[in-house]
Amino acid sequence: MRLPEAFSFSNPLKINCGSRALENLPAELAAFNANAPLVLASRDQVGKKRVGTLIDAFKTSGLTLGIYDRLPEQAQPALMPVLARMYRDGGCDSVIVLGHDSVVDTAKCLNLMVSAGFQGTPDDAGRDVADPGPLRPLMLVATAGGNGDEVTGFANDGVRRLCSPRLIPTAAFIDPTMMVDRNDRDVVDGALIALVHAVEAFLEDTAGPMCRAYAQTAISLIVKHLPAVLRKTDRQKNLCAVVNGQVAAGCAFFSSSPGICHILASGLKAGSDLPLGFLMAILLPHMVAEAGFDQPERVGELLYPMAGPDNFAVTAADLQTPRTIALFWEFIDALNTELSVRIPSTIGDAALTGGLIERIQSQLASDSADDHVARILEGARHGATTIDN
Amino acid sequence: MKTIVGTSNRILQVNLSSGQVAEFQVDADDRRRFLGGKGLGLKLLYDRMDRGVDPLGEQNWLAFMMGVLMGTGAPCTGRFSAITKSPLTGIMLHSSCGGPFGMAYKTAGYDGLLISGKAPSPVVIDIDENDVRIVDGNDCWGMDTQAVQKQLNPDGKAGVLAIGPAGENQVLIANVASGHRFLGRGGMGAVMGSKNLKAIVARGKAYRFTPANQKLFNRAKKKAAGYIEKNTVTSDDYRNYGTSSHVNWCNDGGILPVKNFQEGSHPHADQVSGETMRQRYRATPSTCKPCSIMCGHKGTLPDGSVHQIPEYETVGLLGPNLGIFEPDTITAFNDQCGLLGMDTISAGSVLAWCMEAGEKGLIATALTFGVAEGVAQALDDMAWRRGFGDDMADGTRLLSKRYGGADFAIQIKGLEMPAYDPRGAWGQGLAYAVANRGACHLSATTFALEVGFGFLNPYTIRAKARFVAFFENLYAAVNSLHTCLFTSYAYVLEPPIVKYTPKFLLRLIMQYLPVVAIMLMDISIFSKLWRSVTGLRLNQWQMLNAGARIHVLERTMNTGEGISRKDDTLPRRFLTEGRGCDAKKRTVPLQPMLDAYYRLRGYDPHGIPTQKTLRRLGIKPKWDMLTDPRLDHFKMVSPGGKPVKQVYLSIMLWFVGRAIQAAARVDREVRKAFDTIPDGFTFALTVAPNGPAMVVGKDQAGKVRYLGANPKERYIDLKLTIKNLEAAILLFTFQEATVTAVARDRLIVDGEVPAACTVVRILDMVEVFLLPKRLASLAVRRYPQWPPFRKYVGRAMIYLRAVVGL
Repeated sequence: MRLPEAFSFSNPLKINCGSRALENLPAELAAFNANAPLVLASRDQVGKKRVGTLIDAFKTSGLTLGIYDRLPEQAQPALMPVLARMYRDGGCDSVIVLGHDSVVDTAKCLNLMVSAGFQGTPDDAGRDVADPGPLRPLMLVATAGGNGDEVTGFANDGVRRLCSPRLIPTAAFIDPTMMVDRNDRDVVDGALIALVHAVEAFLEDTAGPMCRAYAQTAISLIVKHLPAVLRKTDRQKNLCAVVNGQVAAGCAFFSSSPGICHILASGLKAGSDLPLGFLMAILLPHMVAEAGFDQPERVGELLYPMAGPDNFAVTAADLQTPRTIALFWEFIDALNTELSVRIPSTIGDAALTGGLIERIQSQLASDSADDHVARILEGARHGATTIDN
Repeated sequence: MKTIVGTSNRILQVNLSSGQVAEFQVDADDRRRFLGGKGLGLKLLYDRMDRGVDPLGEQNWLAFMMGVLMGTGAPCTGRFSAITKSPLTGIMLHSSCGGPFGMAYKTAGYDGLLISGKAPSPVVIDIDENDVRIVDGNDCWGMDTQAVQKQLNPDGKAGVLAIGPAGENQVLIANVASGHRFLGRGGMGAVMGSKNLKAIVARGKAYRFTPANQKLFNRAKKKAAGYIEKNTVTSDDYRNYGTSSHVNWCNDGGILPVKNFQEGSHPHADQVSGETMRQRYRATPSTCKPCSIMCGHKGTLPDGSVHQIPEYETVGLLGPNLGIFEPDTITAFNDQCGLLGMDTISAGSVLAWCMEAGEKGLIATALTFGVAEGVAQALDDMAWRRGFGDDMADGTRLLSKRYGGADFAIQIKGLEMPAYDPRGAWGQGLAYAVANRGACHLSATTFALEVGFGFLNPYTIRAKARFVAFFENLYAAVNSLHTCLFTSYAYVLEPPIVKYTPKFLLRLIMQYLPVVAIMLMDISIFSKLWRSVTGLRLNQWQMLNAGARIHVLERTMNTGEGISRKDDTLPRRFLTEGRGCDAKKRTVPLQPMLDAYYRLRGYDPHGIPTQKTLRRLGIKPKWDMLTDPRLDHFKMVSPGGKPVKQVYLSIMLWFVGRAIQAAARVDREVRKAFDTIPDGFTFALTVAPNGPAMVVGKDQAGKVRYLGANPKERYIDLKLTIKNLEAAILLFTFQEATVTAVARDRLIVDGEVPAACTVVRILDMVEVFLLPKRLASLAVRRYPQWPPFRKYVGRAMIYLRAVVGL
């Protein structure tokens, strides 16, 4: 393993996973001297029953919880003062969020506001606190359907995208009872986004060994368990594994920079109804193949999390890269056999217009990346990967 | 003397800035909906005042309102109400008072007096049946409350309402005197002082009042008087010992304030009880008129001087709360506060805060718990705003803002707390938190049901919200009729349906079926008295509905000043610290009670009355209530416990603890393992948070002993904490081995690693002894191959010793 010349790595997230992981919530809060959490959730996203299960985890704790389980699935800036008032009036000192995506973003933004002393009163309007200091404990109860962004320091308040390491939750709880039986398309979408983030973090030149360890874990868990989730075999356990992969991917993603695949797919999303994860999956094998030209050794190392240590050990070094790329295709095929709405194999199948692709290409044009982007898009147009050793 | 049938309905309105005096008649609809006294006063101020008014400014209004029962001869009706915006809390303030002023004003022919503006120099308002005069009060300015009453009323025929030096200096805890009774709380005296109004003199006896329905009135009056005579609280406790008869039962119940509410009880409390003071001072009644309860007393000190005997709140706050148990000293403080015109509850609380702040090094002060020296000087300094007394004069809320120590500033919404510790009466905690004027014991007196009579379990939240709401409605109505609140003991408890129901049944119904208990309560005596005087229709349910209207109107006015759920709370001490006298260190679980209360009241989760509630009660909102429909879905929940699992674990831990002790005596290997840990070593296995526990240790002689279930009682060398109850159940139902639980991070180990390994090994061995092989194989990582003799004989011996405790 190569050690980059310089790197830094920090991740404050504690992960509690497995059966009865939720029961540890009171103890984890107590470790931060917090004893009055505000629970935020979206009933539409997770259902009333799971909110009840979360509340039950506080039985015998003696704590009183503030609960608001009507968060919208999209972040609404106008809701923030109302939530801040709930936090203040409930005498809360911490936040627990149940769910994923913008529900978690809302919780992060709220935590930022209340830690800075906002109380949702008219007096708060116009207040500008540049540095709120350390934030209050934010506990994430993860559910299936996320993409790992929940454990990053990114948050979207509905208007702006914020970034700070302090927005990273204090702890994540991955409990089988919280694995909501969402439709397969949402689960695959989130998992594919997490997978692409992990692969890109793994391949990044400046990523240190710790970041790669997270990325490797994420790739391994998602590739192994996502098809099993779709096959409905031991679904809760496999969903737990996938969510663990998403959490690991989020940690790796926040410690690296967004890669070409992420940027291209985000651009293409504007012209497509396909989920972002599906668009990323179209580009992923081509991006890996392109990386294989420049750094075949690094791409070859991807075989380890993709195929496991035994297969990695018996594969000759010069075959590791093509085998890795082939495994990505096999992985997508495996998903497609279980999905009712398949992942398109080319961007043509995704009904994306040539004009949009050219516009994206021109936006990303730069001396260094121009050729790579062109080749990835060209590959994705044709749906075939050229492996040239 | 002229006769008025019912009541006069005449209200005087005096503007001290312009000197204008006007008179108007009470609207019949307002009379019916707000009854009189407190209710009508609030309605009149709601119509006249805008929000955001400076309580010490010209725009603030001051209302003195008589009830319709006053002057009719109904029992205990010599009381009147005062309403204003409090300078201490910044929200609405109601206070009720006996003394001669009310009767004098009423018999001058008026039902109320509204004062606004500010006189350019000190004045006295002199009122008789024909005229209202605003006269120069410069010669009275600076006099204490008794001196000014004597000066303005030398023959004792009039009624005087006067402030002392504290009111003149706008001390925020200043009160107003009427004879020896006071409009005590919230700084009413400062409002009069800010208006340069030294006193109001009422020269009555011009009118007499006859009820509209004499027959009904006579019947109701006879019944009311009978109830008061039969009730032990009104005819025995209060009549003989005054409200200080509370001292002993409050001390027994752990709700007596001791050292700024740190303790809850004290072995010397009896020295300041009503029973002791009656004996010591040869007490005789000195009370409001007309009164048949006669809770007020005066007594003779050993030096022959005659003094008012302090009430319970004064005793509590100026006595045990300061660590003082000398009745003469407390009586002297009471006199001093009375003369200076200062609230004894707030003054006591301020002094206690200073004592604790001094102990904690927040302020430099000579005031110390248990030492009376310096207190009299501090009271004087407060009233005259001298030195640090200037800060003390602003109450504990502002003091703690300036100097820190908010956690032990015993106030709610700025008003200092009376002498009932809510940690020993959770319903009273809710009553304090939601009371409109701040920490008020007269908004709803659930402490009496919880500790005094034992009708409600003080340590449960069940039924508390409903009784708090019920008593708030009842007392708002009683303060509007207007009669003494103490009559409610007799009028509520003496009707046959309550009196002849067995106490255990009453308890059961009140605790578990509070709606039924309230439905069955007969309090019609109040409504009958009011109906007979006014001739207007009113039954007890309509009266309670009027009470609800009055209470919610006051809340509405307060929410206009920014009051919401954030203010409906208790001082941090009651939410996080247990009392010194309570081994269980219980605190008040306020939030779930608050939620239940808001739902009953028709407030949104932030404590703002909803539009629907206001419409139902016929209150027209004057300003936006800042309600948001999204807030309706916000709730506070206390998830409760798992009693069966708790009991199971308690038994298991108890048995395992005793089995470890037995195994150390029976088995050589276990003894050897114990030999590796030092003598005096103690370890505990506990379940977080606050779950069952077992403590085992070696004494200094090296003997292993089970030391009980409380790890807080001693120093623990090694603590194994199971993170939650479910993890403990996994362990103790043998679904998971101890080492597996450690590996899965279900246990937190605090202590030395070698000792922890030894303890886990001992636990494994004990489990092998206690359990059959099939279960033990699940519980331990590797089942050992022991000789049958060791296993079976050892098992029998350990079981035997564990059961008998050897």
